[in-house]
Amino acid sequence: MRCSPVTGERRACAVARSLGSIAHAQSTVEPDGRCRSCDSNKGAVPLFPAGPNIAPTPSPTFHRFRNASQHHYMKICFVKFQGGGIRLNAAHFKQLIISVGAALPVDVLTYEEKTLSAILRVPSSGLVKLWSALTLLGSYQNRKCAFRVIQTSPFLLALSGNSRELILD
Amino acid sequence: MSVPLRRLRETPRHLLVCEKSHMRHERSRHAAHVRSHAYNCRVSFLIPECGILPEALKSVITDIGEYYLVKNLSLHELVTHEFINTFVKKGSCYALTYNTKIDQDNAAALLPTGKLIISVDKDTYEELGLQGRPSQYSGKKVMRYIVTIDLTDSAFDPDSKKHKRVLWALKEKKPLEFDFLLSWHNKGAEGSTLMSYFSKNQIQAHQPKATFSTLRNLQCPVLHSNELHGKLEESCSAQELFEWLGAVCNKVGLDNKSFSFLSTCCCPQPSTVVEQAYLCTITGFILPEKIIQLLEQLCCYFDEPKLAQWVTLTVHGFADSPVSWRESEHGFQKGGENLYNFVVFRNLDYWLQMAVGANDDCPP
Amino acid sequence: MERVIYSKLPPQAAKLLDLQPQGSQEAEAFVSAFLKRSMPRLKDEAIQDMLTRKAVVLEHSLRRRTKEKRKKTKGFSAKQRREMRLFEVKPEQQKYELFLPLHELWKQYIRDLCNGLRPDAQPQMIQTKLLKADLHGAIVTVTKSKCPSYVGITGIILQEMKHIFKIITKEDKLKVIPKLNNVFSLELDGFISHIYGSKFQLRASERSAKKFKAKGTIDL
Repeated sequence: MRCSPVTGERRACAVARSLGSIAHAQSTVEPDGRCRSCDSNKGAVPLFPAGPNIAPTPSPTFHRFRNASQHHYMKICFVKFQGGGIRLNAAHFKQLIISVGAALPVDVLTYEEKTLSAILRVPSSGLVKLWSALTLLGSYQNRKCAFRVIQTSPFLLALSGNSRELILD
Repeated sequence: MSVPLRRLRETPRHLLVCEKSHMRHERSRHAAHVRSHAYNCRVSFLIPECGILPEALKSVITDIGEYYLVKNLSLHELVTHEFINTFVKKGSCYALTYNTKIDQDNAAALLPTGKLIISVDKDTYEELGLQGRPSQYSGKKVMRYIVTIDLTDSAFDPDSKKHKRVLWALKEKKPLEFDFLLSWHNKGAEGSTLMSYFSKNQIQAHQPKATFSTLRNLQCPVLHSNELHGKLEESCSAQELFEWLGAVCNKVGLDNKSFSFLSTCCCPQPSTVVEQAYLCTITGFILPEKIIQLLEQLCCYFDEPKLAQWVTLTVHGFADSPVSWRESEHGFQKGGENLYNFVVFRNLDYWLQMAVGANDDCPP
Repeated sequence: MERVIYSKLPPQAAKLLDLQPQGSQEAEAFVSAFLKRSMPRLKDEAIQDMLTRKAVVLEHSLRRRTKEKRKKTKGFSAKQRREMRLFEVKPEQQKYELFLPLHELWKQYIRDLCNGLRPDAQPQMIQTKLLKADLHGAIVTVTKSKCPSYVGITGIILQEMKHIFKIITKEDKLKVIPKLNNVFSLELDGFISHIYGSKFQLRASERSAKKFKAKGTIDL
């Protein structure tokens, strides 16, 4: 018996296989198909044939990704202190953010004009810079205002469920 | 780069664990994972190519069960033997303090295994007098301690020294009072309910809130169940799916039109456009047993041939709970995320992604 | 000294040596002229310097100061004290009821110390008096401690050492409680005072002399 160079499976003499004889099966089969032991010419067959077509169920695998997320996401709210009158549409909001966190590629993913809340995406290395820049912003168009960071996470999915917003009366 | 500038570029660490298996495999641990994550505040599932909710799923949602909010409940009431014998030993009792921040205030949680976990700050620990261990995420000066009391322990008999000490500490030495979210799952046995037991306190029953929506013309990534890491031009990886799912749940526009300069976020390629997709969200204090039922029903969704290739189920945990999976400690550094997501394919293969934030252990 | 050099020779010696004795002033003048001639380079001040004789000490013996012998005090060392067990309370005597009269005595003593302990007395004044008072016989409770198993121990103080209290509890158990990282509370006639053990690590006798500073809050 030797490994067939083409398929790599173990092959035994076909006669031996049908007889169920192990001793004979361990004899070598020549390249031209002749068995050296019993001198039969039946050819070689795979020793362990795969039975009826069952795909083997894959065993569970798992992978760990540490610090894999390239971006961090922040849910922020823009708070105005001195009265209304300012209407910010999405483009103005983005300009405001860009002016605050300049030199960082910030994305405004969602923006709600009524509640003035938004979700930002920033590369992970710039999270601290952007957060501090947003904290230090004190006024917009000569009116006092502030940014409140409601939630921050490296996973966007985590921002959709904030247990601290679960309010029951 | 000097040290302060390097600190500016530091990011809080986080971990994403992806597991791949088959639902009917005997070594599949999907049920064990779900059961060990005790406190869930939000469950949502997304079914592509589906316009109406199937009846079976609807019945599971309406049968989710209610949870209770008890205000100003003293902690020693959860340690009395009456409570232990009525609720903890018969079925699984879940309790979590409501409106307490894990990094600032004291918090407590009762696991279904009968363990009461109290997370206290330094001053409270010094006055309480119960043996505990410092929190794993403390740093040089320990500010947080975790006290674990096993209520089902045989050494915790009514007249044992242990029980007396615990009762004395929680009742007389330093009485702690919290608002609790309670829920009890009993396997059909009748008995007194939480409502009647705590009728003296202000107990209120709440139903989890469910919202349904149908999304039109949604871009969905193409996934192959064997390729967890995705293949170029053929399927997307698990991480890309995770990001895309976040975008869908937060209603982020994935168009990335060239004239819009708002965001450059887009759907991972390769993707297909799906005419409609059903998104359902349930918010409240949801028990793991109900989530397992929901998962089973989603598997049964594929019993009949459907257009959808896969469905997803996302579960968010409480940011302020003292434990995440089993008894591993959970903390809140800049975010308290501990969530997991199932992607179930047509052939009942599944992907499970578990994500945790900074002050968390690796999920099992 | 110079007088000795320049003094006149005695006449018998002069006669013997066949010399003409010179007067002292002539001798001095001769010496300085001779020095000047023989050392032309040196100045006058230098020559005078050399003439002033400086004493050279050839031999010096140190007189050892005998230290006075310390008289040994008539006490025992700590080891001997421990062996003799002078301060141990015997097990038969470890009964809580036996020490209740001691507690009554202590209460009386404190009342006398604070002039009556009236309800309207200032807590500050009482606190300062308590700090210097003797605490043997007081009923004390551990309220806060870095080690949670000490919390809740209550009893009468039997002995106060530098670092510990020896307390007997109601269950007739003698407990040794360290002062470090513990907060004790004393109660008397409605006045509750807390003592931070970490700042209190002095022998009772030394405590009466020490001044305590007031601090806002103390962290254990």
